[in-house]
Amino acid sequence: MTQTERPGNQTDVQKAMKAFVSAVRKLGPVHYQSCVKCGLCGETCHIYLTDPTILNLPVYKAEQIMKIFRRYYTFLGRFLAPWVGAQSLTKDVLESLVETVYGRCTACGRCGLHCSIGFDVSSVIRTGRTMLAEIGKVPSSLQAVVNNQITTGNQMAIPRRELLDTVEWLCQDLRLEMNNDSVIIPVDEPGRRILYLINPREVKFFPLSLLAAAGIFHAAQESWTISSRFYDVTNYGLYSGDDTAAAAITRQVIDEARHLGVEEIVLSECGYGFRSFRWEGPNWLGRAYDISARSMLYLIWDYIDTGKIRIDPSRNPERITLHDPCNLVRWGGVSEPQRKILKRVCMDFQEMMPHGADNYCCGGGGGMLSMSEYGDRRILSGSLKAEQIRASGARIVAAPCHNCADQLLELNKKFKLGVEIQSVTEIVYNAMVLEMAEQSEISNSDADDSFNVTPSV
Amino acid sequence: MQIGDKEIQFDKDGFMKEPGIWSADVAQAIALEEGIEKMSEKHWAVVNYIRKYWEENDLAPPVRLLCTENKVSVREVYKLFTSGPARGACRIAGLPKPDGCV
Amino acid sequence: MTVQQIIVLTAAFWVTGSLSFLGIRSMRRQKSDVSTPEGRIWDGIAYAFTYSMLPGHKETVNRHLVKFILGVFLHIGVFWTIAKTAVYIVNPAYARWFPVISGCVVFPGILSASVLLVMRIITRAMRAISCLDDYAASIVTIIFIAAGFLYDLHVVNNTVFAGIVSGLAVYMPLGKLKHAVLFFLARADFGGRLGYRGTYRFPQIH
Repeated sequence: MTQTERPGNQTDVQKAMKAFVSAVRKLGPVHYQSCVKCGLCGETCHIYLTDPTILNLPVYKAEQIMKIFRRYYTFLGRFLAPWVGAQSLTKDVLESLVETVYGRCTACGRCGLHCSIGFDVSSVIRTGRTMLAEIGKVPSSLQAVVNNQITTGNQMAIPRRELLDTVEWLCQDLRLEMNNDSVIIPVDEPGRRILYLINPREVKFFPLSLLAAAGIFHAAQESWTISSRFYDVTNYGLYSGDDTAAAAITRQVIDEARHLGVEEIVLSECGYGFRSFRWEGPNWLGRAYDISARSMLYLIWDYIDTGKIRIDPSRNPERITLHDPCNLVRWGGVSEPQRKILKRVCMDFQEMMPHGADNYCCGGGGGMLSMSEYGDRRILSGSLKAEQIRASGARIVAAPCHNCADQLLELNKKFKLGVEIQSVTEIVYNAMVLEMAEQSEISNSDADDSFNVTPSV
Repeated sequence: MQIGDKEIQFDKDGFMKEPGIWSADVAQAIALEEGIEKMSEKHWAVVNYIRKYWEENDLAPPVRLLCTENKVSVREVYKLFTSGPARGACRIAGLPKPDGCV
Repeated sequence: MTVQQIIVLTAAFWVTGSLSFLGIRSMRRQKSDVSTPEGRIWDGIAYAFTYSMLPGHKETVNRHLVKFILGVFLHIGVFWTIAKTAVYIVNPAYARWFPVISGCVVFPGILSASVLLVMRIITRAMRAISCLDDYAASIVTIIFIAAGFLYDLHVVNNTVFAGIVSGLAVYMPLGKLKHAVLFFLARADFGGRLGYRGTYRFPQIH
């Protein structure tokens, strides 16, 4: 741009421009110039629906990026900028993007699915994040998490010792609950079939889902392990927009899986963790993985379907509804297994309206949950989800995403929904019938057989 | 929020902006928002433990320590604090918001 | 062939050529997706152009029924006039066939386009997201459909019609009217990606 340009001595604007060009090349220029500004996307966006200001209109948010595109990529934008509303990239423009791309969009992608044209609106908005990440303008609360992941291997900076202690403690609890002293939670065991990746939140604050997963693995006699170094399924690089950091975080996990020599990586119920590891990860790294990766939900369904674990749905008598995390369902394509599972493990399963790929974002996505500065907007935009939950009449909300689960807990409190938020794994664990024969309690086995329900047989 | 003669400020997530001016009265006031009418002995044990741990380590304690040190089970913690240890207990203990998915 | 016909033919070549060029360029991508697929790209594309566009399924349609219907009329008018232009290139006299049907199709088109333009001007949110090109595109479209209509009625003659049509053709690839081709590409591209990931499966109604 300027003649004095020297490598390593670029201005913020130049760096951002470079990031912009590479983001356009990745997503495809077609998405930046297809919008006809029909203005119909407003009602698809949970943020606009709960706070209908122009600033929250998806097309308005995307337009902030498309303006820049037109300035540098189109004939009229270059030579007659005001005519097409083209905008040069300047420091001020970048500054004003921060709130739009981080604070007014959770990148849930719902607008793109309903768009008249059908272009990828939310990925266009994410381009803004990529630019801002390049020049260090990511909101500090979000950047802190990315830094944690890169320097400590997990987003909550949990020391390795702490993980080991927690696992041991959980294992003791699990032995009590399963009434079986042979239960173990394997850590760093090489040559196992499965490496199970978890959300650090399961170690630090919400260990019941890890406990449940371990219980299910044990009951299914699975050969599995977790890693004590790189066990974090999440990737905040997806949220911050920093593809370089995202690639680094992905690489440390896949390298760990190779190191342990596992056949398959199984991802705990985490929406954006699934999306970033399963779909974006290979593209960040530039090549396909040599180890397959899939969601825990598929595995659980396999266990139930093949009869590896036995289920008694009467242990979940209450009505359960299902939240569809955007990054798992819309962006990840996983919508069937959780439904099949829930229909099998509870007595009363009720869908929300709308659901599946059409679901509303809970409001906590896109890193919103860790950015306190937008806390009030996050709750407000979640009111839509709260209404959906209330209308379903459910007592338990199954949330196959740890990030959503936190937001749903907040909504439950703020909107007095009186529900419980559980992961699918926990619900399955709750309905699981333990093989009593294994514990050689022969005297009880008759009674058990009449009590147990095994729908898979 | 006004507690005694002090004006307590919160961030948009409801966590205290100045964790230093925390007191038992503040804790009870936040607890009320959490739907806890009157903090029980168990509530206090957990909250005080979190507070102490934070003052020493500048970190929220992991739930394992919370349980083992106070002789409560995990499931009990969720019963005591319906929004969980982070957004529930840590908030009542006047900590700033922990990083990440909480 | 008359001079007017040649001008319109040239304009048609310009539009096809420039839009194809634009389309190909806009689909240039650094790399294709290297992740292991879960579904099929073609399923996603098929889904995106069928189920995903059904009024019952698409919220931009069923929550904005009036605007949607106006948009449909507008586009019918446009396609009719494009067809008329194609016939015109073959023989200007043939383009005046079916005047009654033409009126029935084109008149609602002009009306709808005008209403949409007015809505764009009077709604605050629409003004906020619109630039001059957006208004110009609407106006140009109205003129285009109207020209065809007036040509049927012998109000405008051969030369005026040819001039208007080729004027529009020159502008088409420059502004937002290029969505004529980008619509298909963007929808196919995004739909294909969702098909690849298994979100869109075909045939299946969610």
